[in-house]
Amino acid sequence: MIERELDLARTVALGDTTTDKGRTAFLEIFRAYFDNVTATVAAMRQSASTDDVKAHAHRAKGASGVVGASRLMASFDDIEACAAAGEHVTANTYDDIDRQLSALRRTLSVRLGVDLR
Amino acid sequence: MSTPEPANTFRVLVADDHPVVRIGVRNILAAVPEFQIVGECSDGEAALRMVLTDTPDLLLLDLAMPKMSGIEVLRALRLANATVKTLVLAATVDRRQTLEILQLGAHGILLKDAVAERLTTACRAVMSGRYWLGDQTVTDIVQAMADPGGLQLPDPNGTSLTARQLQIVKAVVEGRANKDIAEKLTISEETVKRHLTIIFDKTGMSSRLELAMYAVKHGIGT
Repeated sequence: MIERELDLARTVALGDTTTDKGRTAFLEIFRAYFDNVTATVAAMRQSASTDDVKAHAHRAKGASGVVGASRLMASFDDIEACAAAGEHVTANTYDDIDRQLSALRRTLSVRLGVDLR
Repeated sequence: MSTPEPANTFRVLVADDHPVVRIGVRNILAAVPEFQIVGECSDGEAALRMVLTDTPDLLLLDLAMPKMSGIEVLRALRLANATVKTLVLAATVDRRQTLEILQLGAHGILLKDAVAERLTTACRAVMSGRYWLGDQTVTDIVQAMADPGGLQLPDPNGTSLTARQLQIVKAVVEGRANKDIAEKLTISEETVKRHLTIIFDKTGMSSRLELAMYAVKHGIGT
């Protein structure tokens, strides 16, 4: 269910996917989102500093909010809280984020008829 | 007082270190003729320099940026007597930051998860001379600004709590144990505990019962 992954009401202003121009704009922001957040999660996995992880999580949370990815936003909020407490985030948590990103990418690809990988 | 003519175009500078935010703002404002983006930058130093050289009408300013934070940019703009109107974009913001941002001369705060829905309305409000504070009432802010001691008080409207923390408060009000909450939100029990520590800190409460009573009284997460 895309509604669980993405707040569609929030995404309307990002691009009207029924027009060519709007669709281009919509794809541009989601491509940037997937590229950027995937790289951010990879950097977080490698980071030994909880301060860095906290900063990465905060940025990814903001980006997720802008595109209406509510579940991912909540997950990055969880990571930020964990890092703020000075604790290290487990690999399972990052695996879950990667699964959420893959699911959202897959769902949007099918819905828009393009390959967002 | 007249409203701006539709032919008026406001020149906008976007300062945010995240490309997704810049693209989002650009795409949203591209559909609104009265706003023209004249520049974008990804750090605070560049934001300050571009405001002073390009003199935009409106600055959309991220709080957490490299080189200079949004707060430092606001402070520098104030010292420079810059006339630009500023709308701060933030992933989350607590009451103390809200007051500091307003005291430094910003005209509003827009949370990033509200950008898609509210950016145009917020920009219009700011350019018409009003303040944009999302769900936070102007009265509450004005009272707190008049009484600096108010900075220490628990936040009665819960706006400093994130969406996840509000979910946890709601579950506490329902009488759920940490294990229950963890299962319901599909997060670990440890993560629930970490959020609760932050929630207690933000609200000034020290037990679940106190928190539940406080939440019910103020309608937080209910």
